[in-house]
Amino acid sequence: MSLDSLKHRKISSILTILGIVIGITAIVSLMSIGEGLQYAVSKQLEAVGYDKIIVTSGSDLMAAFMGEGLKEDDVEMVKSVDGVETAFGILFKTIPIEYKRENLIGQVIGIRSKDTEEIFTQMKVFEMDVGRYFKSGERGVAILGKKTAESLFEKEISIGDSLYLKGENFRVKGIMKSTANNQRDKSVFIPMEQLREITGSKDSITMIFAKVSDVSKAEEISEEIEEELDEEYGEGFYQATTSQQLAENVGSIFAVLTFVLGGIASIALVVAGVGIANTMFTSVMERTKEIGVMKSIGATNYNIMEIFLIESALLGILGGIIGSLLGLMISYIITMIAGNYLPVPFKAIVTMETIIMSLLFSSFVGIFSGILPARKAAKLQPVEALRKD
Amino acid sequence: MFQESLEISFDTLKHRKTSSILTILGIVIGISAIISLLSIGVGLEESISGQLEGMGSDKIMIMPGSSASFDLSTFLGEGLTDEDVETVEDMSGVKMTAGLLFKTLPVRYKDEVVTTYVSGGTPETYNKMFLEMKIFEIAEGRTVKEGESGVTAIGSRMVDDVFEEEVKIGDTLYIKDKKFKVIGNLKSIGNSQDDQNVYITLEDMRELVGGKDSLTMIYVQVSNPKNIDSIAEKIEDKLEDKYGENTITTLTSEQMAEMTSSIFSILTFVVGGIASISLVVAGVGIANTMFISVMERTKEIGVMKSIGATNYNIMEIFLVESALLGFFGGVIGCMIGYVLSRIINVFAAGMLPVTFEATVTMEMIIFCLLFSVIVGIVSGIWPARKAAKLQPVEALRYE
Repeated sequence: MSLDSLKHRKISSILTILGIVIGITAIVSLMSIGEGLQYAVSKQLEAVGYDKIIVTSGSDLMAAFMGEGLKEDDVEMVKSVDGVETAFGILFKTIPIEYKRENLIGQVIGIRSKDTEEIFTQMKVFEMDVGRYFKSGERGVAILGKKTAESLFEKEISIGDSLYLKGENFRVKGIMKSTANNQRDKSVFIPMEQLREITGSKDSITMIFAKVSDVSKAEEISEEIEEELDEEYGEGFYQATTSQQLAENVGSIFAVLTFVLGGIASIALVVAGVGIANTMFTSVMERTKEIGVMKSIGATNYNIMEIFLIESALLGILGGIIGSLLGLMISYIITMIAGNYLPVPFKAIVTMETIIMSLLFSSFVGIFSGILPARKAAKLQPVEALRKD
Repeated sequence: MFQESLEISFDTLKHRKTSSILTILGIVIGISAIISLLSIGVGLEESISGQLEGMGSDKIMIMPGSSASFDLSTFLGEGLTDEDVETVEDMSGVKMTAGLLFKTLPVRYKDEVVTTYVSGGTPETYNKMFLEMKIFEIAEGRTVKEGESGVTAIGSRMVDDVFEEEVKIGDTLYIKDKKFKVIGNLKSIGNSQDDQNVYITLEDMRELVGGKDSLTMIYVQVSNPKNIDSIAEKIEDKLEDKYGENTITTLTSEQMAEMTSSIFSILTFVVGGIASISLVVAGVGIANTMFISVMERTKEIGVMKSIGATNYNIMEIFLVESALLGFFGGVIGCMIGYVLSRIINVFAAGMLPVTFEATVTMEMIIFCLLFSVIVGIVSGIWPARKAAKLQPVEALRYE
């Protein structure tokens, strides 16, 4: 009979732990997606290098990519700021591109022909795979992002092929290495002067990249650049951001996302906690007599409470451990599946912090849920308890 | 017999009060989370489709870019020209067209600078947009007149929300270094982006940003909304004849509404799905309670069986009990979820830029009640089978 009761207790314990397992598994796997996204983005920005400053007009990202408030003079000004090693401006435009009678509208980036070599070799924001840089004053030439060459059009593009931008002929001189940035890999680079002619924008620039000689001073220098621009155009028109700040900004967006999803998944853990409380109440009831015996041979309230709190904490911790393991497995599966579907390299990451937090959280839920039942057990009167059958 | 099962179940639930309450509490938490999250999703979806409805069902938007690969950057491009506006205007079934050049630029008022959306259009375009097509409507003042320069009509949020000080008609805004006198403002259409627009003349716009004859977007009004889809297709074909395959996207108001609602459906689905995990956990809790209930009543089951209760009868008793647990949890959860969605409204009203109301629909409630009953029944199946399969002799011997 006691064997039978033990078996029942077993089912009950397993189901109680299962609740925690499900909750923790959900939290760990969702967090791993969030962490993975955060990592992918910071990796992209790291590739740009922390010694870079990006100057844009406007505060939000979308505005920055659409705006064209900067001028050639501003590039010179940025260059003249102390500590800036080099700087260049680029102009973003989205215009029709034609290759072998196939048309699409794509992103075209203008860079000054005479700066091309410097941009590629010194800034290392982009790197050349095959081919050569623009020569100073050269016209009708293009350098392609990796994806533009390989997969944007049905037919692959090689060096020497011709593209048409708004009807004008451009010969491909170089193909870039793949960057971590999908957007940039799908771009066409042409001389800035000619992009302005085609699109009719005078001397505007979308953004300025600057490289500083001392990484530790990047933030200081970016502030100085912003001040200079503020003086010229008025407060708040322009923004200079170091790549590190950019990484932090983007990182914080994903952190919020991870937090919200994790929070919703945590509701499951609260429900599991209610399950623990339920099991513990039943456990206290079943062992009323036992408690009476213990108390009558001298167990204090504290002793009794400890027994039950340890039991409920154990339920939580066991659930937490199994849940973390399952979550780890699911994050591997997600990585495997995501690799085939997502355009950017993505890996779900389970950090040590996630696991430690999950274990703490689950044991906390266990203990917390056990408090009421344990108090109930501790407060039983020995005589009453013994009389119960 | 079902009635009896129901009575027995009620008795048991009352008898094992703490356990029942805690089990139901699990379902309550899960359901109220689902209801309140879904109400946010539906609220957002409705607020956006409401905005699109405001545009009317006879509008088409033409944008450069391929509809096959939705890519934000190409939609912000400037692939269209003044000539295209005329081409479209001349097509049969088209009542009216309006082309816009669209940029984000820093705008200064007194000492404050904000980067916002600046649209350039001809006076004719604005007349059409504001007065005839009624995409947006004038609240105060007037729109730009032919031959005017350095004047602007501003969206409702530009008036009193974007800058610290209120912008009144007659005030001056600076875009880059150029002065613009405010001559009118528009009624809110509830979309923060559009309400934050500054409308200037196309000539001023081109002077500010360059760009010979390029446009970002063309609005079209058709004469008969019934033909809107075929006209949209014809426009796309015609422009793609000029620019090549996959270079132009046309969106009718209905397609736009469908697109946004499908995005929100996915979002709501994902968030609701994550919240449903808690319902699964609650289901595990029900199973647990039911196992204990079966164990406690082993002797009772033995008695019932020995006086002729079939396996089916026993199973029914326990399934009804677990279904009841789910159902009660569902009902209370729906009520709490509803209250939460009201509370969310109170907070959201003050914080969100769009008109938003968390909405609890009848479908949601029915869905949640069904879901919670199903969770109850599914969780009860295993314990109920166990109860049904007990041997009467063994069961009677149990103590």
